[in-house]
Amino acid sequence: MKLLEKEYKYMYQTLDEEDQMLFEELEGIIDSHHSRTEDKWDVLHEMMTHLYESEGESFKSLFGKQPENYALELGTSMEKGKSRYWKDFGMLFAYYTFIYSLCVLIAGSFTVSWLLLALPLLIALMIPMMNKGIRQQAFKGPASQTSTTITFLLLFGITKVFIIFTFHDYFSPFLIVNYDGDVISVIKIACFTLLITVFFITLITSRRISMKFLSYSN
Amino acid sequence: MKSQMLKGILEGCILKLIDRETLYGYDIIIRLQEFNLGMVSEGSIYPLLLKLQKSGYITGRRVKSSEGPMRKYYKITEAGTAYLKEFQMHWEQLDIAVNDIFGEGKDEAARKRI
Repeated sequence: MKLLEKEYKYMYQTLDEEDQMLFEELEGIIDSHHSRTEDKWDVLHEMMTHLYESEGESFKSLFGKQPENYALELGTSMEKGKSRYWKDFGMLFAYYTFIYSLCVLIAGSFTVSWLLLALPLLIALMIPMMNKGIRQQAFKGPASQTSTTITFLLLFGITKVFIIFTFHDYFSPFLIVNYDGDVISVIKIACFTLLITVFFITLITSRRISMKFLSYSN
Repeated sequence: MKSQMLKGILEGCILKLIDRETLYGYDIIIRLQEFNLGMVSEGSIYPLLLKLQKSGYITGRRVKSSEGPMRKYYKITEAGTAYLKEFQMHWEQLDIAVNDIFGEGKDEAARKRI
């Protein structure tokens, strides 16, 4: 697959700016659907070869004036790559871990609540919306994804508020750990938690591990 | 032509062309143009080829080209041949029915004019 990607990138460099942007848009829409990397390069290489061989033609004159229409079709009909989903999951998880660490520092106590178990579920819900809404709007995707974008933004904000509220006394019955130490100790524990989280995220998102995971699940 | 209508017909046409000979994307478009299907945009071919591959009706194989980048050649499978027969049968039935309806309409108009 590396060869296809290499050839694609070589041909991409020979295009003019507008055609390059259109291919980028196509790539973005396909990516937003978590399509398998192999499928992505397979189709993109084929289309690029087509354009490369038809000298003098532009992207729009060859593939039509509205590339978004079939880009969406390509994206939805491609097989989904599970590892790409986990990459996004890891990214959001790292972000919320950072928010959690900030809360630990501000509150001055290290608390772990059972409620935090809902965090992975909220993130899992957020990812499809993030890709359909935000990314497609960024790439001027075909369908209007306003409601999806708003739902994602709401969920994104609610999750942050949710983390903050797990520190509140009202939810103290749900606490597993409640360590009230001096600031240095809290920082040490927070750093330790952060390191462990980063380790697990690397473990989940690294290609080799996810491939092993996929081969076990198949 | 309405894109949904064209898509269904194109699927069968592409399959028939690949059944005749092993072709690659660009070839398919040229052949379609030869059969006066020039209204088909090149962009709409690739989702269809992907769909046909996913359904197991065609298989693609990349071959190194002396002229430049690798080309992906498509070949029909057994399942594809069976589907093509089914498509042809349905198309013939549809063709007769649609022609009858349109033919009848023309006859009535001619009768009214007389």
